[in-house]
Amino acid sequence: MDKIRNYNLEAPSKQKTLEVFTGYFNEEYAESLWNEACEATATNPEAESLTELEQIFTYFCSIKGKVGVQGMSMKMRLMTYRNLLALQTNQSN
Amino acid sequence: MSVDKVKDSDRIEEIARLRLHEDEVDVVLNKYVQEASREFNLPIGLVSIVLDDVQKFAASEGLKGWIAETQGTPVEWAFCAHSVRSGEPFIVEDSEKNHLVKESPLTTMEGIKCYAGAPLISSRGYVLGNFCVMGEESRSFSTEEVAKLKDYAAKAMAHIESRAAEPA
Repeated sequence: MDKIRNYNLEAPSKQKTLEVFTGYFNEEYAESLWNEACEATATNPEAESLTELEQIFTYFCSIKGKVGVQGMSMKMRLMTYRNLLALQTNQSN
Repeated sequence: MSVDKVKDSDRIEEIARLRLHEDEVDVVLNKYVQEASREFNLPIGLVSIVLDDVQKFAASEGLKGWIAETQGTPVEWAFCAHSVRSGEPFIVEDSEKNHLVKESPLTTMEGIKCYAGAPLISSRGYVLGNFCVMGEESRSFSTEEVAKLKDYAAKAMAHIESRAAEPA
């Protein structure tokens, strides 16, 4: 997905999510959280669409502690990306 | 290597303990930001909680457009994150002349020009975000005004902690 140019904002992704988690947990736990969320939301583990990623991030939000905080961070970055992408698309049309 | 205080694991745990990452409309916090916005004669007032990767608004007054809908921004744009790092109020008279925020999209794209924020410090000593006001014209802030913002931050923090003590 495209970067939002004027805001220097990258699209959310599985890779970015795992990088955030490995700032607090080991890689194995980060990967297990991702797989748990995909299973719970019936989402493809290689999810790329904003809709799939939002489902995964919403699942993280439901977990207590740091994972819940990180889930909300990821979800809000996704919402920001989606809103700015819509604005950018409208302006270029 | 020093760790960025924004990413501090114990600080993030404190945010989780106080349930500040959850979506919750809080009429008391909203009343405080409305009062502050009026008192400072500035269009925007916020209780901004700095999570690990975004700032999330626990209360807001005067936001428009996509920010009003999102109720937050990426943390790398957030003026409030500077108080999390310093533990002190963060004052910006003219964002285009302030090296810490002049490249933030809040300055370059959203037109925020002046800003004053006082840190929200929990009883355990963690800086969780800022109580802040901002506007689209450059402006200075007096010592008395910064003291007033600190009072608002203390009142907001006391409310947040009393709210967290209640059963979920």
